[in-house]
Amino acid sequence: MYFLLARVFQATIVMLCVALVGFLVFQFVGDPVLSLVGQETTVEDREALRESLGLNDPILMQYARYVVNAVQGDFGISYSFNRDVSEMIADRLPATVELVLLSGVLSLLLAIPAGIYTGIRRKGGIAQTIMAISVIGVSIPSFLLGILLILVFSVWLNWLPSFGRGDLATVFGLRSSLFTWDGLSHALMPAAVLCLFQLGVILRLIRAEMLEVLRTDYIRFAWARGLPGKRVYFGHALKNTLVPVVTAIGLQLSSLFAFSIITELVFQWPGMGSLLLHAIGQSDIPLLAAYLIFVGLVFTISNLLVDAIYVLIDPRIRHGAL
Amino acid sequence: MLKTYLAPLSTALVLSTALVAPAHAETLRMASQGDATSLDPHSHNESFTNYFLANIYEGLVARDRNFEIAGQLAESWEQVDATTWRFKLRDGVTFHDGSAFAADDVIFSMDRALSETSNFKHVLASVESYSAVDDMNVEIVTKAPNPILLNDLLDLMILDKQWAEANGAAEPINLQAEEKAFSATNANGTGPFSVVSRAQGEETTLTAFDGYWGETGNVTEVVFTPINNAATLVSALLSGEVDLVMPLPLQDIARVEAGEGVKVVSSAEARTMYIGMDQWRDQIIESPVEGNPFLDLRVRQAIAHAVDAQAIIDRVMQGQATLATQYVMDKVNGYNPDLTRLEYNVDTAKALLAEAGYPDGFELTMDCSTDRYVNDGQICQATVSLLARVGITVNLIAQPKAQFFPKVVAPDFGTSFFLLSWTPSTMDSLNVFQNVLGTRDLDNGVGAWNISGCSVPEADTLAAEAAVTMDAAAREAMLQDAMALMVEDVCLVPLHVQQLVWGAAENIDVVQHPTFEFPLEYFNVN
Repeated sequence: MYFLLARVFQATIVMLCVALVGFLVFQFVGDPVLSLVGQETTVEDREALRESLGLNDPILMQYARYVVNAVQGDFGISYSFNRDVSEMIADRLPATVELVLLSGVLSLLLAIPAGIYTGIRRKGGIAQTIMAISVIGVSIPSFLLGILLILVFSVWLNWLPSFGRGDLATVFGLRSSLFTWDGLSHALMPAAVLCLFQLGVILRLIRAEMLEVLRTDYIRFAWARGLPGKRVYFGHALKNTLVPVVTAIGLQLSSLFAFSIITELVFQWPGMGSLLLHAIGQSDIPLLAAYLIFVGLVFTISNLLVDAIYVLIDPRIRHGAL
Repeated sequence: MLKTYLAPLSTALVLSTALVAPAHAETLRMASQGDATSLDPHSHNESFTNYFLANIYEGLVARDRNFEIAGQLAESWEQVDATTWRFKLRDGVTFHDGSAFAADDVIFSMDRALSETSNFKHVLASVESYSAVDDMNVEIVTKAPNPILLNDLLDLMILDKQWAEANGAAEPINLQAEEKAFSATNANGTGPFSVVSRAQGEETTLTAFDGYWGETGNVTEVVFTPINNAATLVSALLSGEVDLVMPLPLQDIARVEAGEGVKVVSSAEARTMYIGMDQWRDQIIESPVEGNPFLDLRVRQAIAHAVDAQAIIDRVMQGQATLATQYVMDKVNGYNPDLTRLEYNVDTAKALLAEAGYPDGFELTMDCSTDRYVNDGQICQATVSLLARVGITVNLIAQPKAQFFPKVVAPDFGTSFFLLSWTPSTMDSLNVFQNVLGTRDLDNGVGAWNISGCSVPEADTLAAEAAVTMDAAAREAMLQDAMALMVEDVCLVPLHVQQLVWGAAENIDVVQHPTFEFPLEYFNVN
């Protein structure tokens, strides 16, 4: 328990730093006033707006004001949307979460068995094919892959829609596009693009760890003892590959949020990523700050979860041996 | 006789109109790389937003199908004297929520456009006072005779007073307000289309307004989706998921031309691109050169001779632009047809530079945006290599507009060499003189965009005179003379007038205006 409390405390410090760095960077994203007013607006009117938005205050003062408000759940009003930022994020978050979940689940379902398989049968034709595909997944930039998929499945074959999020449906109080055929057909290509990169990384990691462990002495002893392959591979080898793999998966899945920016742009997916790009274009500081804090939160929480899972899978951590 | 002849004809007209009236919904699915920033017609003064809203809200006057100024909510108007205008409002007009339109809505909207948080104060800058004569007549008195009052009023959208007051939208959006702005996401105009749903950055649905007073095309529903990524935007058109893409990225023109069931629609846009040169500092900035070479007319002429604008049009703009001889395009009032452009000639440019004392050229820094105008970054790169031929070394700062504009605009004007452009929103060149070409006088709101800081006093005088001359012909001559003086002085180097290029499904009829308006009431789905 003490272990987790310490982690939560650390996480809070991290979040404050993230927000501070964000505020320092925002000085360089441009002048929000210019994207708010028209070409004929006078210099005095612009100056008055800048003053009323508090943009003339020192950056640390703006930061302190922001943190005080944010702690109370008030993230301000978006300059370009004229709506509560928290409300906007609540609007857009489900779209990103469903994309991340779909691609995350897909990549884990495919990567874990494929990683184990290629680790055990590393010479076979199937393994070679899987490895080749994973190289493509890791090396093709997601925007290029996205555009290629659109070209093939939307323009040439006309099977799948090229942009947007489809119809929504409510199941068990959850409103998502994953519950309708139309919604699924919209989500399929962006999820596949997001999935392919994760798939490649996780698969290769599991394979490498398996190869490493399979070379160790205790596995040789296990074979020498005449244990069946299933027990050696899954009972002894796989279990010991899990610590680094879980760390990597935790980071990978949280980075899906970051990767989704490009994918959302390519497929015009109305999620957090496209919101961020809009905010950058408009120098919409309240929105940018909230996004940054949100992503920081996703990373710190997933790291906390990873830490908690360690304790479950590796008794040495629980007993303070490591 | 005439009566008996006309009667059957008009009956036939009514019948044929009834026959072609849409029996089912004709949906137009539009997409663009940006979205309207707000639904409040007095908040963000940004051209796409203004023209999107012009389908929902209306003004006293508007451009008709042929781009002439015609009455919209004003049925007719007369000038009582040089400064007094009386507008007779259209009868039987209702707002989308069913309430009747009357003079108090016009007065309310003018008050609103002048309020603290409005970005449309300039629309009424020339107006001394306004009042409702009665329910259906409005009088406007200008400070001085204003020949282009009607042009100014084009951007003044009329809201329903009762609706705005009932919903806390009596003033344009205040960014400091604690509550969210109702008018940002809701609208109640008199226009041909009303808003069904609005999710900014995602999808906006409009429906044809049943009670609309005027004639419309057959579009009954409009679904608008912003698609930021150019490749996705074009793919959506090619795969038939959208019917209209505006603007179409230049690099995709060939794909759309080759595509089946889609076409490219283009016409000249009122935006003139130009290169600006610092003519107000004694020492140019971000350059090792001593003093300011641009103060010498010969250097400015040399730059104009050295920049091959036709090559930029052919290569960078893929032919989708026309050569600019001056700082406005031919549909803008005050365009001078006699002016020519300094021809592209490297030798002349070199000779002029040598005469001015720069036989080996010099080094300077150019500021350029990369995401504001069509291919702006590439235009600058082309300029850099063209100037290198005459010995001028250019260090290019190509930056996103979010960095570019704060650097170059008032009050710092932090550039000595830059690419910019201007669209006169009134389609009258006086607007260009007041903002871009007139001698800088920020306290009086003149020359806020004269980043070059050029100054030709005779042209200022002519423009000031044109501003109060009611005789249209005399006025036009003044503006043309003033333009000639500015071009002779090489205040800016004109490059090109860009084309408005849209991609559309074969069965869509559109109307394009040089100002990028998209009056959906004239569009048809066949």
